[in-house]
Amino acid sequence: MATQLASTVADETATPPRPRGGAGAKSAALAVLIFVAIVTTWHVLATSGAVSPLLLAPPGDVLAALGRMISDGSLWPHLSATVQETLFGFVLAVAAALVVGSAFAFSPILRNAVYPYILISQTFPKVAIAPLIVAIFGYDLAPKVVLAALLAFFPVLTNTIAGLTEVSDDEVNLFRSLRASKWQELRYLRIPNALAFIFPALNSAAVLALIGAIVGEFVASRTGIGYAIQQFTTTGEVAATYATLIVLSVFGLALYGVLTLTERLVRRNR
Amino acid sequence: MATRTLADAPARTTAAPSAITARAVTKTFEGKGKLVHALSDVDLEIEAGQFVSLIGPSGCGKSTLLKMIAGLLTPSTGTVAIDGATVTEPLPQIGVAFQKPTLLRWRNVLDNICLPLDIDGTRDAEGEARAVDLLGLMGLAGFEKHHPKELSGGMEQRVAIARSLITQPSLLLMDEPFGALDEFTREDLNDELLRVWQHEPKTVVFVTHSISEAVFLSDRVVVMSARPGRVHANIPVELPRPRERALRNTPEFYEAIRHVRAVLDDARAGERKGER
Repeated sequence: MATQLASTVADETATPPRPRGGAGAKSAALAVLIFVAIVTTWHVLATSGAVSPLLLAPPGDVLAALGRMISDGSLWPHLSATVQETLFGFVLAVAAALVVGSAFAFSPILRNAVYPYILISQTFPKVAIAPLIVAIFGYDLAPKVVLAALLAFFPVLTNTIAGLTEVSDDEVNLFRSLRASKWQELRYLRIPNALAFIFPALNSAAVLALIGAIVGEFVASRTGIGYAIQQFTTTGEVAATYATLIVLSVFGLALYGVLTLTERLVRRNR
Repeated sequence: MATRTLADAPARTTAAPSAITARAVTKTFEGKGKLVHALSDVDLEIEAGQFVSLIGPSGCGKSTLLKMIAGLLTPSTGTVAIDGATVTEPLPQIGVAFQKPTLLRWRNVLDNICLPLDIDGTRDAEGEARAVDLLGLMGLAGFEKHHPKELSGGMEQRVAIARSLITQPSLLLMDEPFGALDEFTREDLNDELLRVWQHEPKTVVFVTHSISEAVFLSDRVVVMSARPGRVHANIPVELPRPRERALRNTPEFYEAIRHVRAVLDDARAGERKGER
């Protein structure tokens, strides 16, 4: 994942126009075709012996493993742990980034003094300190939440600062000429402006939080999707490993969907 | 198309136009260790209800002077007064239009026009009806729900002008509002601006680079010279009102342009001499 250092995203027109009529149907047909092609190739590779069964299970087996994990309930404790770690980490990171980002936006002195340290801490690969964080915070939820939050924090921070401060002189002069108070300038100019920067960052942050949680589980844990993946890999349960990966991607998609929906609601009401 | 325009809307209580007085105004900026004299000893008198253009070469301080009247800058020495009251901050009776439309991209056209009312806390159905009327007057009837990104540069500037008029200011300050537009759009907007101005009398101070625009719009053209910025000449424009498109083809119009150009050339010649 690319952490956004200075590059910030603020494009209201980022969503491409939905293809109309026939074009939409064509896209959908093509998407289905690609899906079928992937699954077929996957199936052929796994059953023809081209790829060792120790590395790849056929799609049918993976689906069966997934069904088993759901029906016997063994999936839920793992999923619930990973979801909690990711969400707590994400919320913690976003809350902290919004507070710190706002403080920086309104105090350039503070920002200039503290920002270099945050930059250093961010260029440092936090995955490398995962064992240390586990040692500090123990083996339960806490270290994974901390890792998730650490990874998710930075993109939200930079985009919060950018969104609150990157208003043009003309915009500031307009508000001054309208005799707007500082609060009104915030309410009608800076916050709505910042939203266009913050929402794209939230999508990156959600993915990064999930990565943090999984890495934490890899290092030391008794539950979670990351833990399950490790277990299945070491015991050679290839189909189950792939099944958990599918669960992860569904969770990631769900996060993305919730964020997109929230964005639409918030933007409509700003 | 709008069936209802300001012309047949009930008369509203518009504040009487404002008068402006600038006395011995200087402005010095500090830049890169040296002082830049943007304005030097400027005296300017603008009577209530006049349409006055400020014209001059780049660096003559015309935008600086306008920002001082707007209360966005304070003079280094001297005073600027509106209706006798010294300007120390933006006054409520002004409307400002900038070179860039400066619309808020997350607000639709109607909400952009109503922004000053939101900030005043006076937005109501009547205000919104007035916004719709203004939009029709600017030739954009039916665009209320559009967002800025769906508009052309000329349309955006029309919206910005409607926004500057929504509070019924007694003084309209315009800083090269049509500078970025093509000639045809600019002329259209000049026509629309005059129409609004004739309907709602107010004092207008208009900064521009275009001689023909200044002549077409103004009662008086103030020619400024640069380094340091000062008022070089006041040229009354005696063309009859109301002014319509056809005026642009008359010899009187060309004669007025020629006169302003001669004075402007003179101002710039004086500058070059001053530089030696």
